[in-house]
Amino acid sequence: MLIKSLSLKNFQCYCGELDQNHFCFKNGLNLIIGNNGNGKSKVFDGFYWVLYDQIFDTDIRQFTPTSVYGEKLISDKVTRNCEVGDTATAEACLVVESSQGREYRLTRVFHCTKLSDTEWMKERSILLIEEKKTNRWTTSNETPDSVLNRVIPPHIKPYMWFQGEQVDGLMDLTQKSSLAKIIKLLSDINFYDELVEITHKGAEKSSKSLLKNQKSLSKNKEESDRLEKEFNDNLREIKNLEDDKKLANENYTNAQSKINDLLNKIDDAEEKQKLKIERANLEIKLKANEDSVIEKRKSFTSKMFHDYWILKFSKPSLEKFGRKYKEYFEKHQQIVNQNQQTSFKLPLNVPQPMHLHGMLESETCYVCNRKAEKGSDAYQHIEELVNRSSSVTKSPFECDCSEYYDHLYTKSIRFYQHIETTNERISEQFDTISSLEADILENKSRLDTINAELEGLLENDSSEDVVSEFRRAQSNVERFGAEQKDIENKLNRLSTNQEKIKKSLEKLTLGKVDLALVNAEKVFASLARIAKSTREEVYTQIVLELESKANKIFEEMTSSNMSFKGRIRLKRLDNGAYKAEIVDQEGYSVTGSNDSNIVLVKLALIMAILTARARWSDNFTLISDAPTSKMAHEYSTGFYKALSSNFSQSIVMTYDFIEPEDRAKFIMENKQNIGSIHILNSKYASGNMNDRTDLETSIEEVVL
Amino acid sequence: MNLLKKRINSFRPKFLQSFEPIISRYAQYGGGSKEDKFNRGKAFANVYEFYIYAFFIGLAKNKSLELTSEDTAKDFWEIENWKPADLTEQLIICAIAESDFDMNAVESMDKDSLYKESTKVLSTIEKFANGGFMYIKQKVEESEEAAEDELLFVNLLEED
Repeated sequence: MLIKSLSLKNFQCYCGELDQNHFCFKNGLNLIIGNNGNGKSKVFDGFYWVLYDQIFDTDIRQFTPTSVYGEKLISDKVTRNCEVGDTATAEACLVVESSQGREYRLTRVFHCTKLSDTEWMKERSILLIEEKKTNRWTTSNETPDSVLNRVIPPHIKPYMWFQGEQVDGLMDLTQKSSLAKIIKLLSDINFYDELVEITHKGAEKSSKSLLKNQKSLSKNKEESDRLEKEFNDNLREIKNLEDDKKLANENYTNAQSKINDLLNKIDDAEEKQKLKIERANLEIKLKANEDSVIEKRKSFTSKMFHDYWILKFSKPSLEKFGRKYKEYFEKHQQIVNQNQQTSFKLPLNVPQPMHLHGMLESETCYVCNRKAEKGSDAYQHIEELVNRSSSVTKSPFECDCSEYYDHLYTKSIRFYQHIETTNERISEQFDTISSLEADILENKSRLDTINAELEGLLENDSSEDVVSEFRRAQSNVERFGAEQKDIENKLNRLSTNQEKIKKSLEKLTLGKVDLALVNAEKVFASLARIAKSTREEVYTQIVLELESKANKIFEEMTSSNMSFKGRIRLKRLDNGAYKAEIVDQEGYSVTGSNDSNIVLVKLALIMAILTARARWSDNFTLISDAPTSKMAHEYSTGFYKALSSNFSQSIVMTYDFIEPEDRAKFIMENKQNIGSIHILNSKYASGNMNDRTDLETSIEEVVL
Repeated sequence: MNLLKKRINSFRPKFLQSFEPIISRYAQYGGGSKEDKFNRGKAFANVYEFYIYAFFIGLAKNKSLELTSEDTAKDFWEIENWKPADLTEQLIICAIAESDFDMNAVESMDKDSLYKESTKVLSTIEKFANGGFMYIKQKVEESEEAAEDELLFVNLLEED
């Protein structure tokens, strides 16, 4: 739903009737501009109070229920003029419109009766919800929650309705779980998580049912019982190891983050940056080389087949076959020829029929280049050769294998050359691995040196504690890295063992296992795999979309500022979580960004989340109080531009553009995106600015 | 299809049952993807891959073990399903070369005699493959360290 208007009656500093304190909002950017103390935050409170019956208590910096906040909610000017026994009333009225064009009016009313100079009797606040039907307001039949949740769905509320000072808390960039939390909250990833869980449970259950069925058909009950027990024990161990794996991943990530945090503490920025870049490059190279060695070692067995290494010693046999084939061929050919009229010395189809016809026409034998006149023996012989070609002769063989042998022979000679170079190819592979391993050693040694240098830098400008913390984190990275590998190996071994147990149980089975159970086990196992990989893909896709959208918004917001801003990167950590960070052009993490840059990054991410996928930004209003309070002027302008181009409606309370010239310039440049502008002014009838009971706030709508 | 080719292609070679543990240790029964093979720590993605390897190792090291009718042996997939096809053909070529199979004689034989004669080729395949398995088993039993080495089969190939 989008918001059409907000009217306040005697609410906080807004003294007077609803029509006197009325804000009319349109699509686009709606600005409520006022100086400090002019009632901007009270407008934010007004929205909040209508929906949640709570008010932001600035004394304790938290939202407080009306019943606790009491008469303070009512304008001081009104309460001051109350006599004992008088009742004071505050009201806030919000008019909203759904995407189907249905209008609702939400009015919250609060009464308070003065019992003495210091005592008030508070009533419960009332929320009245009306719907506009044929131009008249009538009480709505819908439940309050159904309407309120459509004004702003509870799960997106913190990200669409926020005060500037809350931005830090909404998204703590140092917390790796905060992004995951928001993605979980605002995307449909929950659905995939549920799917993974359901299919995983299904796979487990169907596997157990199959085992049970196999066990009931077992020819050796005792052995089946033992195997089933082993299977279930393994399953438990796998679960424990998976938990351990998560923990090891978490610890590894934490240790890595710790190292980065500690390095950021070093003051010698240039030297630190240089070493950090070299360290990062070396780590990437080291990982690539290690992966490459693993891949190459893995590819050895594959190469034995696909690069034909296993033929290395087979040349003598292939040559033997060659000799055998030649002997065969001669004998075979003899029989072929014998089967033809023995007078023919030439094999079948030699010369080819077209040449034989040519010989007859020219009465010349092309073989010996002698005359073969018609009627001569030579002419007759050529004629017989022609007839030989077309005559169907019975094969002299029961089973003519010549074609098959010929094929095998051709294939065998193709490998001669290849076999001769096999040793070279194997050596090349070993040499590549040796060279990679040498590189790995060299990189590791350089890494040790860099770490020592970084330690030195830490020592120079930090306490002993930081150095020892750095060392501890370094050793944790190694320890948890090794732990991760160890768990991985154990898991691989266990899953192999599970397969073996399944096979053994199968073998013990007598009779037919229930086919439905067999199929269910297969189907669920596949479904569990598919669900898991789909969830991963969807999540990665969401993160990529988010990163790209956040950068687009970030660029939009910072386009008029020439200083270095960096780029937002959502970095995947070893524990699978993502962390938002600002990186430079080379992709290196940038530390020490100024506050306004960080706020912009956070706002860009929040806006990206709200505009991505579910497109909350199309149907709900973003309301924020002083979001730009930490930003430089160019950044604020950029922020408003990004807001107006990404959200159907936004309402922002701000002290930006308080100067008429600034405001005029902004209006001129962004007229088409601005919904409304209201200016707040405070006035004190008595002229005493220290008397809050004399305060009235006036609202002036700027004509656009 | 040529009768001899058909006979060879449809043959299901055997291995001694006593080699089953070593085969299931290093080869993935029932096949599977290459990635599965590495995940499960197997050197060979299929039993036939291991069988081809064993044949060539047996041939290279001149290790042979003839199966008799009294041996308990297990068969598996028909040769025509083995991959890579190029390599399977080389195995057949070597088996023809190393057996006293008469290439010419079979062309004049009736089906039964041809089947009998071609058994010489098929027995040669089994003889060297089982010889190869025996050799690998010995090596594995000699040293558990070597048995665990992921390069075991390349190292065996590299041995003189």
